[in-house]
Amino acid sequence: MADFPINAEVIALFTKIFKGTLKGVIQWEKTADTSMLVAPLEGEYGLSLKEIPDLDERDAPPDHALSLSKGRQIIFILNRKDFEGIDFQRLLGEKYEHVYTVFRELWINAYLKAHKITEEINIISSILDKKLK
Amino acid sequence: MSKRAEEAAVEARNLIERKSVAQELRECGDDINLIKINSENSIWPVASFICNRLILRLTFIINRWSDHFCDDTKSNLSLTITQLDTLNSQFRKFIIRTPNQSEMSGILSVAVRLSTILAAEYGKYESTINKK
Repeated sequence: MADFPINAEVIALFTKIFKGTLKGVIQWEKTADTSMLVAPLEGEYGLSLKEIPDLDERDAPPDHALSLSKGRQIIFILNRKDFEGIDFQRLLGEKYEHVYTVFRELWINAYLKAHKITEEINIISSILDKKLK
Repeated sequence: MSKRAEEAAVEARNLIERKSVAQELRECGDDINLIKINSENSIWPVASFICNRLILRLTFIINRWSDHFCDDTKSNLSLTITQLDTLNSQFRKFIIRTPNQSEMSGILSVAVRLSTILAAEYGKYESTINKK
């Protein structure tokens, strides 16, 4: 967990990263580790997103950890436990009742961007559209 | 020293520094190629050694030549260091166990990506050497 209080600024920053990822404006890219993605921001700032074992140590799908760094220095690492009690439905929409869903959606969209899956689907879809005319 | 002489001295120093930046970036690109060759041949301890040396080298470069770098270059070099950190973690795993096909292809794909980034940065600074 983050070793500092999660205040309004951190929540606002996390929300921007989430929305930026869904819009595809954050340039996530794959790494040599399939469970980790990275994205440059500007200058020495960058993000990493990692699949981690379930934080409640259950036999459940993985959790995720988001970190912000400057060069090799990690500024903070956040996971769903840091946001317990935060009303993401109000901030992001109805379907985000659980923080897990927010992190899961962040991972899926970052993964799609990093592997260029959406781009490929759009290209193939447009090829098929032409053929089907 | 006259103002013109002073300007000429500053320009000469900048030129030498730009040459050094370009040279250092080219050597980093060579290191990436060495990492790729060692990965293809599964020589993980050597790949890890070169990777670690490259991380230190890039960390030095980004700090030493900071004044010459635009935000894009800083961003690209920081991204390269982050990618190398992950690459090195993988190398340390593979000293103990054999990588699967997907892990192997992940390594080679990152090596190609980093090689491209460094070649582009090297080209960028090489092209400034003859400009005033």
